Amino acid sequence: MSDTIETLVKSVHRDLQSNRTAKRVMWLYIGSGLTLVGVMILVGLGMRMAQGGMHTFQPGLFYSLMTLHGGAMMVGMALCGMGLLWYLFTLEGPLNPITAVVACALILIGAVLVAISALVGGFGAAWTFLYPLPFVGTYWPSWATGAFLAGIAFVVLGWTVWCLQMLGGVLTRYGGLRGAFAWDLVWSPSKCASSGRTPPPPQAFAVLVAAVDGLLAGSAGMLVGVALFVRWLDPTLPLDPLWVKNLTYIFGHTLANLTIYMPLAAVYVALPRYTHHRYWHTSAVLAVAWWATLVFVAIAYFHHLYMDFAQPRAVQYIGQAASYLAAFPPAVVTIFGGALLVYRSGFRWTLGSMFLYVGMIGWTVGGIGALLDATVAFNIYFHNTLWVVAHFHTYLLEGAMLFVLGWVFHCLEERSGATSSRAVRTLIGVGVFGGGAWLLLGWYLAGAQGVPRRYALQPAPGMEISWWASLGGIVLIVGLVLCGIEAIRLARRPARQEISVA
Amino acid sequence: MTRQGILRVVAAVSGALAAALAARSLAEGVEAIDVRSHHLTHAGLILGGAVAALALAAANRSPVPPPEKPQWLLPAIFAPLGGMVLMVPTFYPYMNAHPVIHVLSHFGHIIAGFTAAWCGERYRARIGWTTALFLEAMAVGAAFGFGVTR
Ligand code: HEM
Repeated sequence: MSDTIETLVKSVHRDLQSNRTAKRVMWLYIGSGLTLVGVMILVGLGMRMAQGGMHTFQPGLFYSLMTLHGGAMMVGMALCGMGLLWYLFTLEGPLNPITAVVACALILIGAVLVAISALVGGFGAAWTFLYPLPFVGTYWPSWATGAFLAGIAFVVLGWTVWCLQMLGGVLTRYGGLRGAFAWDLVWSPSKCASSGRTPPPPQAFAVLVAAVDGLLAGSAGMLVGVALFVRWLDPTLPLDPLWVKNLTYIFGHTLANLTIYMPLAAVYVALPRYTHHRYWHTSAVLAVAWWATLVFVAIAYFHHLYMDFAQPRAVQYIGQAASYLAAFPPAVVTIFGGALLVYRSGFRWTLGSMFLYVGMIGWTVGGIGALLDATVAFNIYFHNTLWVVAHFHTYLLEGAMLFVLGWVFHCLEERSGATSSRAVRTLIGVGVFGGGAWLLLGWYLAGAQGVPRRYALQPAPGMEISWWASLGGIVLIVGLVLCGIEAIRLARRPARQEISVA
Repeated sequence: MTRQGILRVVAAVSGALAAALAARSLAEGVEAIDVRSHHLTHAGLILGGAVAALALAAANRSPVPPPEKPQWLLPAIFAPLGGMVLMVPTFYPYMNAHPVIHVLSHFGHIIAGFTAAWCGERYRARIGWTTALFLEAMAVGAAFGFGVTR
């Protein structure tokens, strides 16, 4: 009931047509993102089963599929987060839908080019396209490299358009950087309170960090993209490999990190709606936590360069410190804050709230795995092993993806006024969380035993572990299919009310 | 002098400085410079164009922020891309040997800086600063590896 009132109060401030358009834009992003993710999950299972010896791929095909899977997953998850944030921000201030549709179209063109380059051309230098892999010792035609680089360029262009639109929106809405960062709330709270201005809501910080760090990543991506494209046209062009690696990881690592931070906005907005009268307010602690996130997300990428002895030693320390420090803001503000929000709140368990809550657990577990790997003493053993694959799949698959699913179900539940039965929730929970944990465990165990990542044929005990871990992947996919059926069932129910925020 | 007047002077001075720097290679003739210094010179030209645009935009800013104008966003993003294409080191030996074309390409850098900043500001207040910074960061960053090895 309180949801409905809140929904209506918010809605009277927005005209119906623009709210509908904003929702359409959001579903365009989330729909295309989840379609990419869904198809790529099947590709992922195919790869895992091949590593387990259940079937074989032609030589080379594994690496092309791995490249496609990595790239398209990143793009798919980013699209979901972008659509979600875009929509949530339109509840705060106006954004032009044409700009958002152009950004989405550019990104999808990029995804198609990457798919053509991998599936038709056989490009297989991994989604991180680390120089000189796209050019040296290739088993694919040169045009496939060009198509891949052009695809990445389109993705970067679309991403940049989106970041600029969001940044423009936040700066205009909250009166410049000072307002958007809630500077006065932190340094002169009494002045801030007496001025009558309200600080940005928690989700606006996710917008700001995504836009600012996103533009930093975008500029690095555009620079390295142009450099590699020119190198493709002119093979005599010298490029400094360490420079290329730094830029590639500023782009790739930051983008991958932001795909987790963006859908977090769903937790801020939707999780409180399952409690009784508890809300996530902007406080000085929350603001400072997001400032810190902005800095640490931008510099944590150095942990990818621990093995590069030519890199100045100082940045190796920065990499380790930033990786550790990056864990504090989300742990203190979001995870701990979220747990307190739920604790003794008469929390309503539905599919939406379950995904949002378990997503925070997945994020924490994956984050701890990542922290271990970012510790130099451990990295000596874990570097480029399946441990890396384990931790990033944990927070992408059982973190970011669950936040997105949580938001989708939250919208469907709000719209229809209906929820799923306990039996359906249990079945989906067992499939998605149980199957997911089973799949992930295989990567953690193999990584701990030093099985390298990106091997089509893995040294022992890789194959045995891949075999049983693939079964977990199948259970997970069954859970996701059930999830899809339940989403269709809820979507087909009549809408509870014409005007709704979600 | 009013604030607007000062901003117009800033725009004129930075434009004039950038134009003088652009034309310098005519006076220097065909003497080649290394790729890193060449990139950094281009970064200077871009900066001149961008500062001129930002000063002009600030001089003409309306007190109420206008709504988003999407038609200005793509030029604001393609200008940095164009600026980077003009910085392809493969062209540098040719440019060094042809001073007139070299000077024209320098004006291309100024235009890229100006367009990125001006169109960005037209798209939405303060976005010109961002797109200008975006291009400038790429231009300076290029000096450390694009056609340059240790
Ligand atoms: C059922 C679900 C999934 C399965 C079975 C799966 C399987 C795989 C496999 C086998 C690899 C290659 C690992 C190696 O040996 O190095 C891989 C890599 C990767 N996966 Fe997944 N995956 C799944 C879901 C996801 C999701 C949801 C995301 C992101 C949102 C994702 C992103 C990636 C990325 C970025 C790579 C790295 C590719 C590279 O090394 O270039 N995956 N996945």
